[in-house]
Amino acid sequence: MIPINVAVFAFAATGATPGTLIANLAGRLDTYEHTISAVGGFESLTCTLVVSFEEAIDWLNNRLMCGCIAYGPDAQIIWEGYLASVEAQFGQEQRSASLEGMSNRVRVRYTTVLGTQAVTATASDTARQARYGVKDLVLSVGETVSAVAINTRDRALAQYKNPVMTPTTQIATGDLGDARLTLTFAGWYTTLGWVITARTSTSNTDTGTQVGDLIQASGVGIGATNNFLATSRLSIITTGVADTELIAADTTYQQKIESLLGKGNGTDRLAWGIYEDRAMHVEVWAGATPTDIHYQRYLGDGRLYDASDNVVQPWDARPNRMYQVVDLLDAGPASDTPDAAARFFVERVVCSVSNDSIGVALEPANTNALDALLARLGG
Amino acid sequence: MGTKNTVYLIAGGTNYYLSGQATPSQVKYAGSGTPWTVESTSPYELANNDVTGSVWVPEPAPRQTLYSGGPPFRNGRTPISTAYDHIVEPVGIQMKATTKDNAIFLLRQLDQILNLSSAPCILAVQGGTNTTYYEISGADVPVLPTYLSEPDGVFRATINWTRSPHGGVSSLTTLLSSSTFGNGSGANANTKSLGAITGDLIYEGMPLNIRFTPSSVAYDRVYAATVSERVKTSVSDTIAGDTSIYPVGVQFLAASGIDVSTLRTDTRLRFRVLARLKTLTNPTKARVWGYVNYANILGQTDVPLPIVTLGANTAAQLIDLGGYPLDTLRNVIMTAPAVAVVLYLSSTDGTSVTATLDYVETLLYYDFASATGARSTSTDRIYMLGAQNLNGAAYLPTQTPQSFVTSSADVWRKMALIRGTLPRAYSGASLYVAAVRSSDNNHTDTDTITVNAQLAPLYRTIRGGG
Repeated sequence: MIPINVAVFAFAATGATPGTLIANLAGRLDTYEHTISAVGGFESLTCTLVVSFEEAIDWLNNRLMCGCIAYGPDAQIIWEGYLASVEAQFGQEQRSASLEGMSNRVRVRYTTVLGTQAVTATASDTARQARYGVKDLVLSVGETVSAVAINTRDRALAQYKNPVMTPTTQIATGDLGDARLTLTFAGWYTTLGWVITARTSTSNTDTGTQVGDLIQASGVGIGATNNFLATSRLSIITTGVADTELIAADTTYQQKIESLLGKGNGTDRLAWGIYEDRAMHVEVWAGATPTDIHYQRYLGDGRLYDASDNVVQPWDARPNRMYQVVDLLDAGPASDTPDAAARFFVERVVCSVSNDSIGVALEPANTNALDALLARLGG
Repeated sequence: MGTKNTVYLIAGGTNYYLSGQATPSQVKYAGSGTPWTVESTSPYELANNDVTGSVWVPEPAPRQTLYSGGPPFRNGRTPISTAYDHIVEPVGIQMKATTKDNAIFLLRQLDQILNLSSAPCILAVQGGTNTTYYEISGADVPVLPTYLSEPDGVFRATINWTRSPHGGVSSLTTLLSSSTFGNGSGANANTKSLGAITGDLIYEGMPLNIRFTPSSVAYDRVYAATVSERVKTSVSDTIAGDTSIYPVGVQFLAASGIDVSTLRTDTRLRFRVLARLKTLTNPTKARVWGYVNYANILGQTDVPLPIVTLGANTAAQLIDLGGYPLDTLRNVIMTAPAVAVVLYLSSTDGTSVTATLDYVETLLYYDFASATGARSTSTDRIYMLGAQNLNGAAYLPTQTPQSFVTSSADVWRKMALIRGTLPRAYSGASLYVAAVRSSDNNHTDTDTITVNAQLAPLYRTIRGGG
């Protein structure tokens, strides 16, 4: 038995504290899969379960943006995020609701007839913002007049303020199927791409310090708008690289953070993301010391081990680790090469549990896996 | 000695015996009364019976084991996980009636009770002294091709039912009744034996229903585990005025010489660390971290423990540092392995912090879980439920683990958050319990928790005297 519990909480814009517990999905899941990335942290979680029609409708209508914490059999947090999309299969009818494509705060940039760059005031649907948090959209419409730009803004808000519902109907012979629910959760890191910001300061400040500033609940921090993340700086290193605090207009928090941390620490790249308790972690990538092995396996054994030969359960595997296959070790691997025949840097992990298999896929950097490219949800 | 098993269905509180007397003694249904409620007059009889020679017995659910590794890289495979699926089982049955209409009535009745939608139909099988009860989630009752041409009013069909993998019992076994557990110290132990347990799965784990009533209303989180061993190592070491910042820290005295030799011979066990700190200054600025050290060599770092930022309580806190397999020690050479738990104190930002490491508690455990739910009074209860009898007749595993808070009169308060695996009963195991306030880890080691624990034994097939 693999008692993984996916606990679901009511939406609460109160920082890192989950809302009211509304469901424990332990024992009900047919499949479970989560992904965690060295850039972003907890990335996606998808689980399927068979439900009654009434329950499927409840999830479709009422549960988007609910928080989720997945616990492993040892009471450890193995993943954390929010419900980004719900897909319900009612026989040959399918309904899905998703936060992707939703926007509840809109502004429009345009060029006046005099050639001046202008922007409308923002328009907000405060009720949707209270329900889901603020999600920005900036449109550009070229040369026009203010009234038209405002009309465009208002139409866009009306069109995009709600979660996107996508029905699919197939009327055909064959099995009609059952009522099956697919829940897809996204990591809290993706909410950094929801809100745009700007900053006029041109001071040069350590990039780690700036990232800490950008996750605070006041000042320039995203928490002043969407208070979803922990404000702790404990796991954010001082990078030693100073960069400008200037943020151009219409830049999302995620873009700025990735611009800052993408500069590394002057010597090596960094790995960062939102992990347990919605805390931001920034650290030097494990490839900086490629001979410090965290995970290993033996070809004759289908399990993952740590460097001390303790079994690492698939749901406990994390990215930003060095991995090696013991049987493939050569006599003289280069000490400064992260990716060699026997070892590579783990950029992303995919844990999958179903009724006929339990496993984890460790993906290297620069992976071409399609699901890795598509897994960044809610952008 | 009679060899036939007594087999009946329970639906809506009524017994329907399938083990009537075999031909030629089988009683014919004449269209009135309820003869099926008594075994000797039931018009139903299993095709496999003491007269035909092969007595029907429920099939044990096949184990579904996931394996890892194997050829061509090695010989054999390693079992990773085992569970049981429900059983789809054909059972031949014959019915005797005076007329065709009466026979069809018997057939229809079978189909109806086997497919109750209000509650699962129960299959009861008494082999020997005691009865085992299975839940039937649905059934088909196709008639055999010879149905309409059977002589002497005998009509045959095959029941294809889908039933639970294990059978349960009609009443739970009380293992602990209003037992007073301590919270780490004091006159009452916090780990108590579950005693001798019955059932077929005594080594695989069977459901427990546990009720916790912590003495203080402040406690909204209980930790519970079924353990092989619990060791409390007193440390009583104070670090004062620490301003170091992780990864630098000041080490507490080690909790050393912790015997873990049982890990070598029991692959079900894992090693868990909890630590109690007291007399804290600026605890929200303090971080505790460390290692499980195999060799008790200064500076050796074998199994890293998580970095825990303490809660706000300055009196005392109990923190959970997680569970670990320690597979490295499961080998033939280290016949008496012992480990040390080495903990460090750091400040989050250079603020001076002080803490006394009171003791370290280590468990060799089978299952560990926490349940968190706010309580309104000190008599409110926290439940962890692994068994249910919604079918009205017998106790079987819950479909999903359940935990919630109730009043002392068992009036619902709220759902509790479950982390981990609800403790199951194992042969020779004890129950470990601790209670804290989740908001700040507040822990008073002389407090008590009143515990009731009941077992739902499970059986793979017939029980006999067990």
